[in-house]
Amino acid sequence: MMDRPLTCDDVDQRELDRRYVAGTLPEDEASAFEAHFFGCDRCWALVKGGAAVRASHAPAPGAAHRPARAPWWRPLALAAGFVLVLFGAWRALRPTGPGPDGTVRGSGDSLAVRTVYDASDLQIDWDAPAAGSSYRVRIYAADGGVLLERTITGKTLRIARDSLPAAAEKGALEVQAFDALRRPVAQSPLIPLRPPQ
Amino acid sequence: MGAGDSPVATRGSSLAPSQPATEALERDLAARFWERLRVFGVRRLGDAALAEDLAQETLRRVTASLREGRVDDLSALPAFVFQTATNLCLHEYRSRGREQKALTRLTGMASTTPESGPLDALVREEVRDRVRRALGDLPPADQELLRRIYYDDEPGADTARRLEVTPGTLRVRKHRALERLARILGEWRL
Repeated sequence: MMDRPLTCDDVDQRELDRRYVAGTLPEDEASAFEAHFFGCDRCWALVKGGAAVRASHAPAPGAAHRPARAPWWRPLALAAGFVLVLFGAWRALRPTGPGPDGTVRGSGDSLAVRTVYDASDLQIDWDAPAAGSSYRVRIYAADGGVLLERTITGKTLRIARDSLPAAAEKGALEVQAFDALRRPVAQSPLIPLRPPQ
Repeated sequence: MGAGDSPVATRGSSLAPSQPATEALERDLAARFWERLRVFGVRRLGDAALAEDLAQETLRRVTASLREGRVDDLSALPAFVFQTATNLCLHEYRSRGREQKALTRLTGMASTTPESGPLDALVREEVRDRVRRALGDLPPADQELLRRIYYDDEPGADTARRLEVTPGTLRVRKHRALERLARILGEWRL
């Protein structure tokens, strides 16, 4: 496949710009594409525009590059904060509890989310708000760390149970809806995960 | 910028150029390759600062080669720049990139999240804001198309099916949407 230099038609047919920007190209294809766009302004414009579109939707790098040392108490504060959040979510949900179909509802315009475990998968689905265009599902560990994050455009996510980290069993999930401009439009409460034993 | 806009791209060959010509060539070299080199570097090294170092060192070496008349055919300059960057990356930067990644892991300050892309670290927050505003000025169909392709990483066949168009039509729409975005943005850098 890499015997001859790439052409713009190869780039279009194999969607190399999309896959390069997402970081999903194998190394040999990514390298061949770089060699191509160094000399091709048309394909470079795809990479530059695509990278900008992607970054403009992605979370800001924020503290990622700040070389500050974490204070010793930060893990304790994070854990305490998360316990408080979980406790709050539990208090908010306790009066009604999950319905017979497993639905958990939050307040206001928050998302109603259902979780169903079957033999192999955890299925998470929710009622899409009118402005909802994409949905980010996060599973947190009990200490607040993000164990899993998926962004999808549908309103159902299936995750193989054996792919879930063990820490997810004591964690919680959250679904956030975004509109076409990636502005948040609705959010679920934190929903404790309780896989059947 | 079209390939023909650049003195670097249009000169067919060169002997050792005169000083003013070399300076113009150096300026053009930076204008043409700086961002591409940063993208190249950040994908391979995973760190924006290292990628910038790599881009600078590559341009320094290519410039030196031009000054010494060691580049015979300027039409092959893009390949020469790419090869210089690749060699530098392999022999001088890869271990630094690995060290940087290890340090990042150790301090728990991963530079990317699962939903961010490998190039996100290059795009400064003010550029993101500018692109967000420009995207907001695009027709909603263009906004959705670009988001599906470049953020959701949705395969073209799926997007085409969803929009009930052929893959060829989808490609044309994508190019036009990016051209419209570029027109709104005017002169800009990643």
